[in-house]
This record gives sequence, C-alpha cells and structure tokens, in this order.
Amino acid sequence: MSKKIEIIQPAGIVDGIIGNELRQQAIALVQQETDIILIDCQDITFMNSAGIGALVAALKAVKNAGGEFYLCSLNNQVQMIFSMTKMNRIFQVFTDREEFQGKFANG
Amino acid sequence: MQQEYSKSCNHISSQQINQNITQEMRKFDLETQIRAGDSYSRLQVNSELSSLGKVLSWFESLKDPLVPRRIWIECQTVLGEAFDNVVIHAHKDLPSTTTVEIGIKILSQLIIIKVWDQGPGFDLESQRYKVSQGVDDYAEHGRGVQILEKVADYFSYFSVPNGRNCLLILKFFDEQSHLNHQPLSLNCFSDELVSLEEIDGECQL
Repeated sequence: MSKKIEIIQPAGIVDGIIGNELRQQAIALVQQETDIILIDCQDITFMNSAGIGALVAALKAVKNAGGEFYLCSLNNQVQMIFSMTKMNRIFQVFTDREEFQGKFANG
Repeated sequence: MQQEYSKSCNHISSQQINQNITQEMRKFDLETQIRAGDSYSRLQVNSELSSLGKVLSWFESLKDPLVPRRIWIECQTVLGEAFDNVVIHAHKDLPSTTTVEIGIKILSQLIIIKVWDQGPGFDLESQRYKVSQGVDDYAEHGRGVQILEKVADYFSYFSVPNGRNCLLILKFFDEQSHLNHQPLSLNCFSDELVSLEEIDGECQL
C-alpha cells in the first residue's frame, strides 16, 4: 500500500505566525490520512527561532499522529539557524525535492 | 573611566606595557565607535511581529560587500531574534504602536547592532543561565538567547535614559580580530555606557 504524501511549500519569512499556520496545515493533513508531509523550504527567505519552535511543534504533532515529517531545500540562512540550534538532530532534511522523491516516489 | 584604565595597568610586567597600551587604544577606539550615536543607520518600526519583514529588508539595504557572507547571515539571524524578543517579551504589555528602534554600524572589522526597547526590561542573565543548562531539542521556545550566544562575540543588555533599554551586540568579521579585542574586558562596558550617557543627558548611545 503506497503512502499518501503531501508537500507544503511556504514562501518568504517563517516566523512564529507563519510557523503556526504550517503547524496547523500539517495537523490537518495528518488528520486527513496523509502519511508523509514534506515542507519544501526552497522559497523560504528567512526563518527565526519562533518559526523553528512552530516546526518542532508540527513535527511532534505529526509523529504523534503516526505520520512522518520531512524538510528539503534549506537556504543558507535556514541551514545556519538549524545548525546553531542543533535542529539537524531532530529533523530529517533532504537536499532538494528530487532527493526526497528518490526515496519516497515508490511508496 | 580613567580609574578603570589605570587599574588595568597594575601588576603588568614592563614587557607587556607596549602591548597593553595598544590594547587600551583599541579599547578606547571601539568604545568611542560604539558610543558615537550619530553614525548609526537607524530604523524605527512598530512593535508588531509583522514588522520583521521591514526590519530585514532595511538590514539588507545596508549590505556592505566587505562583510563576509557568513557574518552577514549570522547578523541577519541574530537581528531577527532580537526584534522578535522585543515584541514578544519586552513590549508584551505595551501597545503595538510602541516604537522599536534599531541601530546598525558597519566598521572595517565588525558590525555593531543595537536594539532599543521601551519595556520594563527582561532578565537576560537568567535566560543565559537557562540556555547554559541546555536547550531541549524538542522545546518549542527558548532558542533566541541560544542563537545570540552563538553569534555574538559580545552582547549586553542595559537601561539607558528616557526609560529605554538597549541590547548591544558586537560581531567581528574574523576570529583573530575578536581575540585581539578580547582584552577589552567588557565587563565594565555597560556601566560606562550608562554613566556616559547620563552625563551627556542623551537618550541615544
């Protein structure tokens, strides 16, 4: 049985406000039987720690609901803030969407 | 201030005097640069989270090709934290029309960032202590000071006249210049800044 994948692609600044919207979207998706959520970060220009906090909340909620939560295509600033806050320890990050699809395309 | 300088010269061998004088000159020079309020690029925005875009675009407009890319992104990141911190904590009980002011000065080897708030002040030291005890990977809050600690070569939070507080952040372009400036012994820094300001009777550093 193939898993249901949904991709969210936010744009611009991801702060606490946008981060919470992402969290709510992710929760709504897992409630609608989505198994895997990918946040494609290619259009994110900037993220702060409030945005990270909301992503952590999203990750926890999705995992609790039995889903999987991944990120891809982090720009330099997002990579930097992830590294400063050791987020690489809890998020699984793909280089880009192709790498993600290479792993999950066949379910 | 003179006393501070003469005190720091005590118990130093004669071989170290020249080096010490150089360091004192650097110290004086840096402090002058930090204090000279007129040479900062300044921005005032309303105290609302949605002003962050304005803050970041303004910071981007100051971009200087001499600033290494990594340093620029680190400063952009720390500015985003400092601004959010004012809105969420320092101005928590104040109307969104309250002004947040930011000052940036780019020198040949460092960036000076100042963020002024008008709140009752927050306890930075206890936040630093919490961070030093470790931040839970799965925590949803409390990473702002962790980022400040990682990025800033020096930072301090102190009150200034007219009921404002200032978060001062220094970021040097390379490790070496940071080390050269380390003997600044910045522990007397914020007190001096406050007392000088009081003498000048100005609200801006």
